[in-house]
Amino acid sequence: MARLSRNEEIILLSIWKLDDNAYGVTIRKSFMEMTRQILHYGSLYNTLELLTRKGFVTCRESRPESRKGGRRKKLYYLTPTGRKALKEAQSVYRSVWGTVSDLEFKRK
Amino acid sequence: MKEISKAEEMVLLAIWRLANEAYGVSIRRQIRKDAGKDYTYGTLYGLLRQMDHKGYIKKIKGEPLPKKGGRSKTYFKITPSGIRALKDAVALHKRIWKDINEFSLD
Amino acid sequence: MENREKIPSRAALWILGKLTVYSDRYFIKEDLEEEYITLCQSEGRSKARHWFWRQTLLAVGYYVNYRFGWRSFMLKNYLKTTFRHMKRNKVYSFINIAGLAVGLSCFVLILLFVRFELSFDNFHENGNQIYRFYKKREVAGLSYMGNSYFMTTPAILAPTLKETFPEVVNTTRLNKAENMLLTYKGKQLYEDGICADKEFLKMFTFPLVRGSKADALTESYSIVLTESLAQKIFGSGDPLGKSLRISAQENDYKITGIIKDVPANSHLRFSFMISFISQKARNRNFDDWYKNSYFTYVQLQEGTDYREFEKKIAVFLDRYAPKRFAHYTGQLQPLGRAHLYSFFNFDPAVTGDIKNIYLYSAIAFIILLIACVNYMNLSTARSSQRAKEVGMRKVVGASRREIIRQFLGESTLTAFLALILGLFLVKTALPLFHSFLGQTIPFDLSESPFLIFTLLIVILFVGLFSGSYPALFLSAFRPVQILKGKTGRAKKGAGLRNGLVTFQFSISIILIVCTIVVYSQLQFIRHKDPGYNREHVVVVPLREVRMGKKLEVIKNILNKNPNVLGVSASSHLPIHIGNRNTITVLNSEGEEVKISMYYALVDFDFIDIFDIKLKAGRNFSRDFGTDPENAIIINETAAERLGWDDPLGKSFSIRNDWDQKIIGVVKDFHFQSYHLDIEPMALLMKGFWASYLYVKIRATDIPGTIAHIQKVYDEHKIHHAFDYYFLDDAFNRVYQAEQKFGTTFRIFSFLAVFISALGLFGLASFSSEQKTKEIGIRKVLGASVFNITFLLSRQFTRWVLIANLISWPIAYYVMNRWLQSFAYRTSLQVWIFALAAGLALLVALATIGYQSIKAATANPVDSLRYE
Repeated sequence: MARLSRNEEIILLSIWKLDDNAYGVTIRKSFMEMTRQILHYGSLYNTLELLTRKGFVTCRESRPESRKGGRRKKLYYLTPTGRKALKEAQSVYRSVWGTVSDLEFKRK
Repeated sequence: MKEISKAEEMVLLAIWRLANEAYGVSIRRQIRKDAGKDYTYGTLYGLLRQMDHKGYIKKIKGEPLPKKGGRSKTYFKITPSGIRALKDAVALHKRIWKDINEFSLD
Repeated sequence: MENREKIPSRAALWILGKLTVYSDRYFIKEDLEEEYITLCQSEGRSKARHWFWRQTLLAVGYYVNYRFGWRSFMLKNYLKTTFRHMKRNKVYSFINIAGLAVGLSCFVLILLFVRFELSFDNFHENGNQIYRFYKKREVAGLSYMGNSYFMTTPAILAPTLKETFPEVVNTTRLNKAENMLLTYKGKQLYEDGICADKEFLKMFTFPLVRGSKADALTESYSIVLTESLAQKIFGSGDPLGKSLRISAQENDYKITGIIKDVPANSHLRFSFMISFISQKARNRNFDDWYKNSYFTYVQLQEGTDYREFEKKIAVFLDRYAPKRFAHYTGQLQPLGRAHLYSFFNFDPAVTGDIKNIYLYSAIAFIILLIACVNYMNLSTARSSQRAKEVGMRKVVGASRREIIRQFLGESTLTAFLALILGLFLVKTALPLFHSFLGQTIPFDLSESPFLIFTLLIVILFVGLFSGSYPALFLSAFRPVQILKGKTGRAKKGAGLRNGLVTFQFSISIILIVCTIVVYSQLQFIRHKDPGYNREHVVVVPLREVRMGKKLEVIKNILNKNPNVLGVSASSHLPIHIGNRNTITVLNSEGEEVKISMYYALVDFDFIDIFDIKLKAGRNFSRDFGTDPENAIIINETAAERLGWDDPLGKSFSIRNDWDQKIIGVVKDFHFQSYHLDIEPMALLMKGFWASYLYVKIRATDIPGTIAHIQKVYDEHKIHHAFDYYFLDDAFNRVYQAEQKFGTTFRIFSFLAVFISALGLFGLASFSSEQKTKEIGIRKVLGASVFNITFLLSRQFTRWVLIANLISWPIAYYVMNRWLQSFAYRTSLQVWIFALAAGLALLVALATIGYQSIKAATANPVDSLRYE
């Protein structure tokens, strides 16, 4: 399976973490909290598009909220394939970094 | 500082692990071993060039091959800046995957 | 207020809407708006707006990436080179972009104005069925102030038409109620309004916010106010049912409705409406055909051909209307033409002039043309300098197509930047524009997609065109050629460039000539001896109809003031006597002569106070007791037309039953606009009523004297508040239209010259750079700075001079036509053209001179080093 890029990984994870509340604003916020970097909407949507095409992500339109001024949202969810991709990313990471703890980052 | 991509991370880690023995072939081998990823030389050298430009690694010219008219091997060494980048990458990863033990598939 | 908070920027939202995938699939607008709201609360609105715009623009960038993927990288590269190029040639880039931006903004502003003028009365639902009734006078030679068309009709016309013809759906009568004093509980306001039938509200679309359309103007003494007027008088209170007092009338008016404010593009401007039949209650006769003081509007059935209908009316009126009305032919004017095609006497409409619209539109396009041409010219000239860059690019492997794409992209991008700058300029200049025109013009980008579309097309065209030379021409060179410097001079463009310089300067010179002519005609009017003295004359308008003895008393008191040189009163201002009658007399040969004679009612002191010169006979005098009844004084032209060798002592009747004896003849004086020849005019005292009080004062202590006049006025309990102005000012106001015209031309000529100078500046710099080597050699051979400057200037000066040859005949023809509309005018003298030419030349020389001197003083060593 193709590797996930960093952005893709973080976004997928955010979607998973956000549970039933993953849409543009929230995903972006989560991403920015995790990475402490700015993610612009365009970049987010481009990545989401890519992820959707790869079949990792699916979406559904939310019911307009009952309170006044409710907006429409596209809510994103992980597909089983997406989950698998994440799981694999996690295991690769484990295997790669498994033997190293960051305390060992000294000049050899 | 902008975070490094996954690919760069792999390469940097390999170079770090290889210490003084990091050059094209060995790096490729190491990555294969660690991550199971098969990089072509073209991609690899491209990444190496980029990271050199960014200051994460530096090129060291080695001894020329004993063969007649042999070219010299170029070794790569990680720089402090590169180490910092690796540290950041790990920290980021930790942050993201915090509290998630085994990623469940349901 | 709340809504405004929530909408960050309509323009940005529109842009986002264009990024279809983001907008439709990902709901970017909603996402951004949500964050915007949070940001508003945490960081304030302006920061939030900033952020919003930034995100929008970035989104555009990412979208391009999305759509064009790998190609967007090249785009980024082109962007970088464009900006780098601009930075390196800051001055040139600035001039180029600024010139185009200025041209664009003028174009947009003028177009806005034209659009506004053309949009008059388009908000009426039944608009295309409504017509105004006007009369055309058939008898030749008896026009009123040069005009044979009249808007005024009798009150009985409207109901008659409605009863007689089934094609007439509705009619309404109208008359103006200008400068009425409205009083409510101590609040006094002067407002302009109209009197209208109850059908008015049904025919026209003036929505009522309070009251009902059907009833509002049905009863006598009803009044309808506009929202702002209601606000002014009653604040937030409910005005319905309350009563207002109007002027000096006995009955109060009951407020029966409130309408929305009259929009700026309505040919009728008013802040209140009185029911028409209120006038009936004040003893006005509505049944006769002779009192033509009203305006008639008709609404015809959908699909009726109004010209055919006119014929029907003609037949009907012929048979039915009394003889005196039969002099006229009744005709209809569609509502849509009311504002711009008004050629009537007594038009109640706010009038513009269709000719102005054509003129301004033409100027708009010309300016745009000059600006675009300039831009293309400059870019093309400059780009031959980039030959080296092209060479390098080719060497490192750029294909011809890539180079073409680069140059085209660059030029289009800079053109686009000019558009943004131009629109920004429009936004800033808008308040200035409003004050100049005296009205606000709505400018909302998102409501005029057509305008944006046109502008984009223009910019695209300009950008591509100006990029085409370097794109096609330069990219064709082989790199070796370029690097060796063998590209050859850009001789090809030379002819075109010179032609363009000539064209631009021709336009500029024409505009300068026009400005000078208008200015000198205005000066001429101001300084021409009008035949009477209007200096230092304070005019106090008397709005109260019955002054009676009060007037004499006031005059006596004022005369006692040592600073007062004379007091008088009359029915009409000497600068505008519009009252007229046709009289029939028998001339010396016994033939019947019909002449139109204007007349004013004056007092004993009128002729003295204005220093009007008597040619024969005597002035009105208190020594002759019969003067107020019988005496009449005519002007020279009248005496001529009457055809009597010696008019003194002869009698004629200026009105039905009056019989006046001529006691004197005055020298002609201008009692009307200089547009018109002096017509026969008479002054008499019978039936005297005073509309204006004149006080001629000394130049010393003017404020003091005026204060005294005011005191005397107030003491005599005249109902209307004291108001005054100087006769000179009133005179100047008559020519306000011409003055505006002059100012407009002044602005346009400045702009044209500015843009032409910019273009010339760029060309001159290019030309001198091309010639660096030549100049270097010449200097080495001993040429002085002066020689070189002369050499460089000569090339362009020639074209500027040629421009004169083209522009003079055109300017002459145009200005001649304009001057013809004045019966009294200056002539087109040579100095005007010489001055215009001189100015243009001066500007050209200054522009070229700077470049030339810079080039001439350069060290020849540097310029020759390149070999």
